[in-house]
Amino acid sequence: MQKPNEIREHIATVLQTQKITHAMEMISSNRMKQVMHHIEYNRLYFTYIRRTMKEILSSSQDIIHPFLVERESKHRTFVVISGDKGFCGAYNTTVLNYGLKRVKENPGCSLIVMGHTAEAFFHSHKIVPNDCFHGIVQDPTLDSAREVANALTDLYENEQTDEITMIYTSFYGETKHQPVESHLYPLLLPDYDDIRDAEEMDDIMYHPSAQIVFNMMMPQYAVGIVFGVMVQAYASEHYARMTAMRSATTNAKDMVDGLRTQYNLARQSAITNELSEIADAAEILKSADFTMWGENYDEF
Amino acid sequence: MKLFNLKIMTPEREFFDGDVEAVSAFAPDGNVTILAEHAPFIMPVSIGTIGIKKDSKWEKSINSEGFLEVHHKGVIIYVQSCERPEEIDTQRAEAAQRRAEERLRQKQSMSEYRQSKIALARAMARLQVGTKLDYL
Repeated sequence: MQKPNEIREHIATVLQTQKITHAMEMISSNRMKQVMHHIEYNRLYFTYIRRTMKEILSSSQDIIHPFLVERESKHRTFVVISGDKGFCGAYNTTVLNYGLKRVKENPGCSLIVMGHTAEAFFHSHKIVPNDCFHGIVQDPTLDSAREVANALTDLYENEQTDEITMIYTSFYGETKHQPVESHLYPLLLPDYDDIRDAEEMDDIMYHPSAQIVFNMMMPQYAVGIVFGVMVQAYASEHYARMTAMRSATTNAKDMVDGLRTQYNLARQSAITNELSEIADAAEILKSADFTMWGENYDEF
Repeated sequence: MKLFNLKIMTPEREFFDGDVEAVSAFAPDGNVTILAEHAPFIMPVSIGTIGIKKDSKWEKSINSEGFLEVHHKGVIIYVQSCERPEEIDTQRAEAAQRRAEERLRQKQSMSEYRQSKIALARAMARLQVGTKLDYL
């Protein structure tokens, strides 16, 4: 059995860890609260902008634009979004393993990562990302979304890649908290199958011309999609961290309870030991022959 | 006057959702006003002002680049940002203008140059409305 002192130290350590996990839980739940009022609207925006795109795509099949054409060559680029930090349960591992699977399925593809864990993960699998965006996943702003969207659009426009797919953790609907992928470029109608209430608009007009409309619209659309994806990943990360840290705090509490019982047991058995030692000693003293002492004493 | 549903959406917030009489926005080649029962229509929106006519009164707000869709049920305008005149922080816009001008002066690459130009246009449009210059 452990000594009471050792157990006491153990309890102190667990309590300290519990404090940290509790603080992290609070931070994440706070961030969740902040992002929650965004998220409802963001979902609406995401659906609307995709519905508009579907309406345009389904009613203008005769428009020829680089963003709408499936290119012959198939050079793929994957954008994988994970967190900057760990301590969030399976969030990072799930999305990263999914990303790794997709990258391995497509030899010769490019890889762009967002988040420090993603970079470290792919390096440890001997895959060097072609590009990294830092400091964006923990603070998804419109400005950073613009930066990312511009970079991705340039990549596609310069024909450095023929298809851009984003891999992130979904926060909505049936795929909630699961890694999903969404195509950014090129825009193809089958990607919009989940949008059901789009209108048929055969007589749609473009002003001043379809070409100009698409040229100006695509960057905006990309920014909207990238921002939506970033917000979803951010919310998923903090949700995962909040849950993980909450269960860690509860575990620590259970552990402390168990350790306290152990400590009390150990303390009591120590006391019992001591008492029985004293009682034994007293017993011995009582029965001891003091006459021996006396005789010896006299000799000195 | 006949009303139609107008939604103005930015990635960050829903700026407007309601029934209006007319809406006007800046197209690359001039100002466009849309009334109820307009045919399906798509156009890019330039940085400038969006006018909303409600209860026979025009209300204007400043918008950045985006696009406008007219569908059978109404109009949706997607812009990067949209602000009412009273929401505009003139000092912030002035600072942004200075920053964009500075960046333009030391333009490094073409794409950065493009980005700076857009940022400058956005700042200047905000200032125009912010200083109550009526040009709608």
